[in-house]
Amino acid sequence: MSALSQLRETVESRTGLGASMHGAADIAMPGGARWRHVFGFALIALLVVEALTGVAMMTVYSPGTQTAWASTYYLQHVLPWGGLVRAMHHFASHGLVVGVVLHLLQIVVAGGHRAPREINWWLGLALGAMVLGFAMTGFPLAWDQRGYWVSHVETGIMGTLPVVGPAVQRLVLGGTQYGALTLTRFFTLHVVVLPALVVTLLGAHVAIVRRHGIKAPDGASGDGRWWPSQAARDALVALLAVVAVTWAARRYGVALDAPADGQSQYPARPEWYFMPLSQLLHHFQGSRQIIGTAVIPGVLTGYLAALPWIDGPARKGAARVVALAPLVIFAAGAIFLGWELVHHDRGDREFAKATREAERQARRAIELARMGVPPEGPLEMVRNDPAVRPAALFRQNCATCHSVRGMSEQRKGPRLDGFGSRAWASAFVAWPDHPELMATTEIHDMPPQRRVDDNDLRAVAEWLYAQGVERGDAPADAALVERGAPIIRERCNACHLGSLTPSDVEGIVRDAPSLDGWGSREWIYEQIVNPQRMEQYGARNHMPRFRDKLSEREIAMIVAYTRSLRTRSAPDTVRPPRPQPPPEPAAAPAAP
Amino acid sequence: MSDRRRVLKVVAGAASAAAAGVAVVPVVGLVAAPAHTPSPLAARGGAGEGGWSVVARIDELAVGEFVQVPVIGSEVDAWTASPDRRLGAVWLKRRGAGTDAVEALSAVCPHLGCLIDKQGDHFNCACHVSSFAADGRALEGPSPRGMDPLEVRVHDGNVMVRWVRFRLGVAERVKEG
Repeated sequence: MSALSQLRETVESRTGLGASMHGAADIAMPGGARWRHVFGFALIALLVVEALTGVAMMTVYSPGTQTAWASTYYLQHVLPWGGLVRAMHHFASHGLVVGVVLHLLQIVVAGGHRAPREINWWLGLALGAMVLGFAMTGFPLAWDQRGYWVSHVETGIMGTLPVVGPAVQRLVLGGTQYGALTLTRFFTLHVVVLPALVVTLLGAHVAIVRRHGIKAPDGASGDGRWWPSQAARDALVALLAVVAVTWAARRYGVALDAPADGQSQYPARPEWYFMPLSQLLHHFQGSRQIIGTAVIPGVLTGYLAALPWIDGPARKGAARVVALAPLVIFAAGAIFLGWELVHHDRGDREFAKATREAERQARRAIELARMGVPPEGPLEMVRNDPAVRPAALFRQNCATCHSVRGMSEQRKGPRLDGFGSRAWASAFVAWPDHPELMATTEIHDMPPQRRVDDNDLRAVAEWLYAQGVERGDAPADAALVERGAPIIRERCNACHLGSLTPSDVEGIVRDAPSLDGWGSREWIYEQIVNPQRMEQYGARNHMPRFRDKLSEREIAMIVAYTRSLRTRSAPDTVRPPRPQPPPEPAAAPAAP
Repeated sequence: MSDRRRVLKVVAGAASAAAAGVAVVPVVGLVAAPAHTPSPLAARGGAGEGGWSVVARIDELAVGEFVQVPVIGSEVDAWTASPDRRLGAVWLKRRGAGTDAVEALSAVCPHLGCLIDKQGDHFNCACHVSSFAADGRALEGPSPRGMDPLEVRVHDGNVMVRWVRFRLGVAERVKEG
């Protein structure tokens, strides 16, 4: 006796595991091994893939509204193997749905739901429902836009269900709000509760299969056991399923959408297997919504649960066709509804636009995450995107009065396109009350400089431009600036003082801003934080103080944005219309 | 019949093993990944360019006496980058009035990383009662080496130290990370 077989015998004599396993594999296969019996084993193989990939992801994933997206990003885009593992988890879930449907159809055709196997049929239905439960609870875990919104809609529907709806919804959400507690509850369901239930029910399911043996199709003859002839077929198909999942994961991957934002619009579409349900909502609206959300799914569930009696053992031939006809109708209806939704979306330009925008946001979020996600979470990261945040802040806070091309046509304050540029300066000097400048404000004291000739105007504009020149700007023409300086002193400084000291301001009321550093970052900053300051436009200015309304960081972004307007085209340099001479008195009509 | 059974057994075993292998390889790959994949943010973390960080003004330092100051910088942890976090602390001593010569000792105990405090004229780590002389030499207790000196320079009146963590619990001074 070799040492190895001796060891085996010793272990076996102490544990009896070999005999147990042989016993477990000793399942009756009336009619012998067949390919049609492979689905159950393939489903178990896919569940194992889900468990393995799921545990691996849990070593990285961090459930929480501030960390879920960021950790998923890290898993998918930073760690080697992460993208593949996440995609395998995703595609195995598709495989499970397909496998459950095939398994169910095979059982029905073979009559595996009939007595004495009714209880196992119900266990199978419950396991199938759990596959959908896994899909629903797993979808929002990445806390990206798609997962968030699809799940948001699903729990919303839950709340509209009759009688128990609101209570169940509160239980699932962890309150009335779809938020942090919803995420942790879904996570717990997904990784603890559902797996424990599946393992328990699956154990019972397999044990009952062993008790009754596999249901052979009617008329099959012969005898067989599961091991090894069916086991070989099962293992080959399981291998095929795992390879297919891995191939699809490598080939297509699974996208991580932009971080979940409850204040955004998102074209939410569920996975394909929920599409028929989603489309039912489209067909049954208002008071009839319940037909789509509860009645039809309820009828389908009831029909499947009652199938052991509807399609009882006595039924044969044509009678079976009648009993199973609803299954065909449901299947055809589901396929039609799914097709209808996809077809509708294909032709919908708005949907295509929204989808492209969502993809753009996802790409941008991932780019930003490469520079680190702030502790406040990925939503703060996206909202503070240095590429768009300043413009958005300007739009919210400034464009309500200051018109800017492409943003607003407001006329409560001067237009800011080109603010700080030579063109803006000369337009202002020539005609401060131009309709796009001070005309709509409370400040009209500055007279149009009619007597400045074009050369002097250029020099003045150059001097003003030079005040705001900072690193990166085109330099000012020194000679012109020098020529402009005395004109400014002579014609402007009487009202536009330079830096004021408190003793200067005593007793005087000025609303002409200081021209020192006009158009610079600092000047714009002061204008924003305290526009009523003496050095700015003074007390008559209606522009609100933004010091306490915005954070320093936000003000800095608005300053940067305003500076970026320098290079835009300013209002046209126009002189005010010259006062028209009074109309000549009409020639006295000649006396007749 | 027996041959057929044997083939079927081999097929069943081999296919199962292959399926398991296909699933397990990426899973093990991912679980092991963080062990050998440093966060790509690591380069952005730390006190500042090259690890240099302004920790004090020279004229705020006491002459001939160590004071503790925090080192502020960007903290990086996997996907998160947190600006302006306390990264650690350092003991600073100006050698003399009117001189720019400054001594800097890391406040991280070389034993197991607790924070070193000062008691009278010597340093003390409360965790395992290691004590260090006024110049940082190890005196008593389990610390395998003296307090870790840090590079320091003074520029425009700003005291800058190069913040480094050293491997704990060993006698040699080895930079971490």
